[in-house]
Amino acid sequence: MQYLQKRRELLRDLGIGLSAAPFCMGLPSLTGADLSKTPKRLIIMFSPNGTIPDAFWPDEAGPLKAFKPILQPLESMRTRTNVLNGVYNLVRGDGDNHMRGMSCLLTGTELFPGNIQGGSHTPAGWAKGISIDQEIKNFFQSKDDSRTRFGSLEFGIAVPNRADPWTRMSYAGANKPMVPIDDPNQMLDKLYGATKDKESLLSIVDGVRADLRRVASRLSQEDRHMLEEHMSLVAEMESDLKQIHSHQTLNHPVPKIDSNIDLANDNTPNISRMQIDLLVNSFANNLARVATLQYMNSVGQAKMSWLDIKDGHHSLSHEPDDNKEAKAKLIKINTWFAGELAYLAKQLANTPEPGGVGGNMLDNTLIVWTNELGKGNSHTLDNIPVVTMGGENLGMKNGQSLKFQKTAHNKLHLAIAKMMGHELHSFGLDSLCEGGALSLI
Amino acid sequence: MIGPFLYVKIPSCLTVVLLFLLITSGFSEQNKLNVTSKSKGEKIYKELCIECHGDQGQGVKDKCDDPLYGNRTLESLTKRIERTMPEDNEEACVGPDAMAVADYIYDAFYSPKAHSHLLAHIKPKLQRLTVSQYKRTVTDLITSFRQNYRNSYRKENWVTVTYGGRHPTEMKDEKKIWVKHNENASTIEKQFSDKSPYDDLDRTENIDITYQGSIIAEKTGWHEFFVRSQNGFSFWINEPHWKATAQIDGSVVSGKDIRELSYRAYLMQGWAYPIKLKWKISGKESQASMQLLWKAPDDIKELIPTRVLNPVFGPKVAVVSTVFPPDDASRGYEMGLSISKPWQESIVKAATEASGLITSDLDALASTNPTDKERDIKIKLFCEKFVERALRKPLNEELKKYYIEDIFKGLKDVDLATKRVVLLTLCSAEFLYPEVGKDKPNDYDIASRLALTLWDSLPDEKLIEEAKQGKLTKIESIEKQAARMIQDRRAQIKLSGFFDHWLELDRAKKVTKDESVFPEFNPQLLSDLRVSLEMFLKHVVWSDTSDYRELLTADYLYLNDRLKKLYDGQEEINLPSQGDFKAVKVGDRRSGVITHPYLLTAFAYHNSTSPIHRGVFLTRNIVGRQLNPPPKAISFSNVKFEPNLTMREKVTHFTKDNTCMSCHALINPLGFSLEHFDGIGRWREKDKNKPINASDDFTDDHGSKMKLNGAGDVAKFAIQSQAAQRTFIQQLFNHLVKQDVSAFGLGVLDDLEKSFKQNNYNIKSLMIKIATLVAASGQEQSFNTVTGK
Repeated sequence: MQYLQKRRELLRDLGIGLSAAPFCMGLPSLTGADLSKTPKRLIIMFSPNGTIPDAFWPDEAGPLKAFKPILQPLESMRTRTNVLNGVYNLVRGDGDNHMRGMSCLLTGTELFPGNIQGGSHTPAGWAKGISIDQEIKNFFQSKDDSRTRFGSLEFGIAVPNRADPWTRMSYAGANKPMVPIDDPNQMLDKLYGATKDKESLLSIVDGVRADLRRVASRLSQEDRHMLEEHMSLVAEMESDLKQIHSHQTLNHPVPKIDSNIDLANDNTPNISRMQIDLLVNSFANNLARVATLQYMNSVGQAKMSWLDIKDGHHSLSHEPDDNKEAKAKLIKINTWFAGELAYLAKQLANTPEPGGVGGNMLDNTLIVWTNELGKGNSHTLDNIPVVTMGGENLGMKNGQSLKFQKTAHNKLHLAIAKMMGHELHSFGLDSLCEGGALSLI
Repeated sequence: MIGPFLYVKIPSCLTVVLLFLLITSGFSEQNKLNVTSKSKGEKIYKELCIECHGDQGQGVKDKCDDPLYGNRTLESLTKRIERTMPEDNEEACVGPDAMAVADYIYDAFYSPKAHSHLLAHIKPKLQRLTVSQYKRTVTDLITSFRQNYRNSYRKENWVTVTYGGRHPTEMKDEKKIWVKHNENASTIEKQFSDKSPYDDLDRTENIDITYQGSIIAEKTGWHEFFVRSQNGFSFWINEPHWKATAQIDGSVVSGKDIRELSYRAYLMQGWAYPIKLKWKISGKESQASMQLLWKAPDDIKELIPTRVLNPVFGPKVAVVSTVFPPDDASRGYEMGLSISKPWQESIVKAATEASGLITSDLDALASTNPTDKERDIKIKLFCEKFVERALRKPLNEELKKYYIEDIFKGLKDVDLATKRVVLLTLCSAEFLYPEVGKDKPNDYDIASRLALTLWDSLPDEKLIEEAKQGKLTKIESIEKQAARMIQDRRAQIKLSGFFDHWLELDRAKKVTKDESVFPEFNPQLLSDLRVSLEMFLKHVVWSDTSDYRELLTADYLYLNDRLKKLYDGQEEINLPSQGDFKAVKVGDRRSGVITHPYLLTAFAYHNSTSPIHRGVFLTRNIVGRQLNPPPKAISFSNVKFEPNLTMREKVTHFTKDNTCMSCHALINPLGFSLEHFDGIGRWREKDKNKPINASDDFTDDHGSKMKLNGAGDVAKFAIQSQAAQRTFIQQLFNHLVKQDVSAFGLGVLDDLEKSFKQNNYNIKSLMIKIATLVAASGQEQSFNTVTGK
C-alpha cells in the first residue's frame, strides 16, 4: 500500500532526557500540575455523515453481548465500552442539518443567522455558545490541581482548510470557533517546539563563547570587562540548559513523527495514527486533559483510497437504503473509524497511569465517539451514534447497551460534565436540559 | 633645625659653610614650594573644582559641559579663577590658592600642550548594540532578502480599492458579465444599503470589494487592528503572498449586527506593512458597511488615519517582538554600556524568534522551492550572505568555517543548519559589538559606523560596494555617502528619536488633566497635538533649509479641524476630512516648539500652567544652561496659596529664597514668558482675572542683562546664544553617536559649532558632518587598541 512505502521515518532527535522542570529564558514550562492525584480526562472523537443503523446499533438494551459489524474492531475491549441509543440533537434554528449537526453537537445551542447557506434551511453563522469540551477545559484550568499547560488540544485529521460551521465543532464561546490542527508536525511544534530550540541553543553555545573570547583578546584591559561579563552569562545559560536536559525523563517519550509527511488524502491513515500518538503522549505528559479528535468535517467528502473506495463519503451517504454496494462501502468506512477508536483506546489502556497512582490511562479517561447525524441519507438528527469507552474511575459503568427515550444530547453533556466533577444544571439551550443529566448507570 | 635666628658665635669658615647650607636649603625649600604648590594645587582642585570640572577637566554633565582648556596665559588663568571661581563662592579660592590651582591645571590639562597629550587617551566607550539598533538591524537584515525590499515608499497617502460584481443586465454566455472598478481610497470606511456603489454593479448579486496597500507605522510596539462590518470579510497584514492565510477571518457572517474582529501585530516605526482587506457583500444582505480601525501603542482607537496609508504593497517585514530590558539612559540618551542577565536572555529569545521568522519562510528568502534540485546549495548560499551582511564585512576563510562550515557539516537537514547559523550569528560578539578590536578602522568599519550613526542599522548594498572598492578611506567619499544616506527614511526615523529626547516627549504620553478646568482635553486631543508637533518637526528638518532656528521661531502650527477650534487660526482651512492636517499661520504669538501646545500641555499641572516645569525645560534644553538639582526638595502645591494669586505670583513667592534664586533667577523669567499659554497651550489674556505679565529681566551666560517680553524674545535670544546652539549640537551628537562629544576630541564641539553657523544652522548638514567625523575617526591614530599609547 502506498502509505507504507511513503512511511519514511525521520527521527526527531528530541532526546529522552527532557525534564518536567521549568525552562529558562522565558521558554514555557512543559507541564502543569503533576499527576500524583488521579486525573480526569475527556476525549471527544467525531466522524461525519451518520452511520448505518442496522450495522451499528445493538439489538437490545442491557449488557453488551455482541457487536454489529461496524463496532467489530472494539470487540477485544467490549467490557470497557458503552453504546448509547436514543440521544437526539433537538437543536433547531438557522442552518441545515449538517451545520447544526456539527456546530450544535458540542454546544447544544443554536446557530446565529448568517451567510453560510447549506443545502436547505436558512443561512447561518457560528454557534451561539461554548462547547462542552471548552467548558470542561475552563473548569480544569481554573483549579491548581488540574491545570495544564494547554488545557485542551484540538486535533484534526484531513480537515479542509476552511472556516465555516461545517468544519468547526469546538467553540470557546459564541462566535469563537476553535481551529483544529490537522498537521502532526504543526502539533508537534506546538507541544514540543521550544525543546527543539533548546537543542539548537546548546549546539551553538560553544561557538558563542569562542567568539566572545576571540573578540575580547583584541581589546584593551579596561574594555574587556563587558565582554567578560557577557561570557560569564553565556556560561550560566549553558549550565541552565544542561541542567534542564539532565532532569528526569518525560513520562512518555515523544513519538516519532515523519517530518516530511505530505498532508495528502492517501496518507490519512498514517496521519491519523500520528495524531492519536501525539494525543496520548500529550495526556501522558500532562500537557492537557481535554482533547477533541475531529475526522474530516460535516459533509466530509473524503475518498478513502486506503479502503479501496473511490467515491466521496458524503455522496455515498446519500445513496438510498437499497443500494447494497453503497451500504457495504459505508459500513467499511465506519468500521475504519471504529478501528481508529480502538487504536486510541488501546494506547490508553496499555499505558500505565503516570504519577504512580496505579491502573492505566484509560481508567481515568472518558472517550466519547459521536457523529453529526443519525443517518446520512435522511439527514436525521435522531439517534446520534454515541459510543463511550473507558472512564471507569470517573464513575462509568461499562459493557452496556443503553437505550434512552428521545433524550436531548444536552443531557449527555451534563452527564459528561458531572463525571468530570463539574456540576452543571444546564448546558446550551435551557429548554433542552429538563430533567438534568442522563443517567449512565 | 638651626635657623638663621639662632644667635651663636660661629667661626668664620663654619659661617661660610652655614651660609652655603642656608642658601641651598633655601633653594630646596623653593623647589619644595614648587612641588608643594603643585600638590597643593591638585589638592585644592580635588576639593573645590573636581565636582564640576571632572578629574581631567573634561567637564561634568549638568554642571559644566565645557572642558577646561584654552589659550590663556597662566597669569590670565589665575586672575580668572580668582575673580570667578568657584561659582557662587569666589572668595574661597584667591591669592596663593588661586595660583596653586591654576598652576596645577595648566600643566595637567589646560595648556595646549597638556591638552593634546590628553587627547591621545580619550576614546569612545566600548558599547554593544542598543536595543533599538539591534531590532532595526535584524529587521533590515532579514527583510533585505525579500524581493521588493529596495522599493521606496510613495508620497501618496491612499490604498487601492477594487470593486467587482455582476452587471445588472448585460449578459455573456448566459451569465451576467463581471464588472470591475478601481479607485483610490484615502480612508477605509464605507457604507451603503440598497443602492449599489456603482450603477453597473448589480446590488442583488454578490459584490466583492478589496482594499490593498500599506500602513506605515508611526511608533514601535504592539498595534491592534479592528475590522468592523456586518458582512463577510478577511484581513491580511504583513502577509503579501497571495496564498497566505488571513490574520482575521470574518468570512462567516454570524448574526445581523456589526461584528468586530481584531488582531494584534508588533510593528516597527517607519516601516510599511502590506495590508489587504476583502469585503464580501451578499446580494441578500440589505446593509453593507466596513471600517478598518487601529489602536497604536499609547494611543486612541481610531479609523486608520490617511497620513499612514501608502499605495505600495510588500515586502513582508521581519520584526522581532521580543521584549528587552531598557538600555542605560542615565546620561539622557540610550547607550549600550552594560550587560545583564535579563538582557542576555532577551538576546537569546530574540535570536530564537528571528531564526523562526527565517526558517518558516526560508524558501522565499533563499529564492528556492521544495522541489528545487539545488535547494541545499541555495540555502547554504543564503546562510553565507546572511552572515556576511550581519557581520558587516566579507567572510574570510576563518569566519566562514566558524559560522557556516562547522555547522553544516554536522547536519543533513539544511533548514536546521540554517536555524543554528542564525542563532550563532545573532548571539555572537562580532555581531553585537560592532566597534570591537579595531586597530585602525577599515572601509567596512567606516561603512558600519555610518549606518549605525544615521540609521541605527546595517550598511546597505551601495555602501558595502563603496567599501569593497576601498573608497571610504577618503573623507569626501564618506561625506558623499552620508549625504545620500540622509535621504533614506531610516535617517528620518532615527532623527525622530532625537526629538523624543530633546523635547522630553515621554512626559506628554502620561498627561491627564482636570476635567472641570480643561473639559476640552481628551485622548483624541492629545493624539492630534502629537501629530501636529511631529508634522512640524518633520517639515522643518526635511525641508531644503532644514533650519534649526525655524524650530524655535516658526509662526505656524499644523492644525486639523478639531485643533483649529481650540487654537489660533487666522484663516479658514478647508480640509478633505476631519482628521487631516494643514500648516496654518498663527501670527507672532507662537514661536516654534517653544510654544507648541503639545509641549505646553505636557509641561503643566493637571489644573494649571507650570512656569517652573516650562522654565526648567527651556533653560536646559532650549537655552542650554546647566541647572543643579534644587537644594531643598519642596513640591509646589497650588492649594497652599491664596486663591486669588496668579500663577506667576505664586511661583515668585515660592522661589524667593536666596538659595532658590541661584537657579530660579534663570528659570523663572523663561517660565513666565509662557504664561499667556494655559495648561493646554491655548492663548489667554488673564489669569485669575488679572492681565498676564509675561515680561521679566533676564541675564545671559555672559552676564549681559536684557528684557524678555514673551516667548518670541526667548526664541530670539536662544537662536543667537552660543550655549543654546552647543546644547542642541551636543544632544544631537549624543543621540546619533551614543557617545559624548569629548570622546572624539576636546575641540570637536567647537568645530561643529563653527560649521553649524557657517551652514546657516542646517540640521541635515550637521547630521552629515557628525556622521562623517565619527566614521572617519581613528584613521589618523590608534583607536581602541590593545597596545594603546
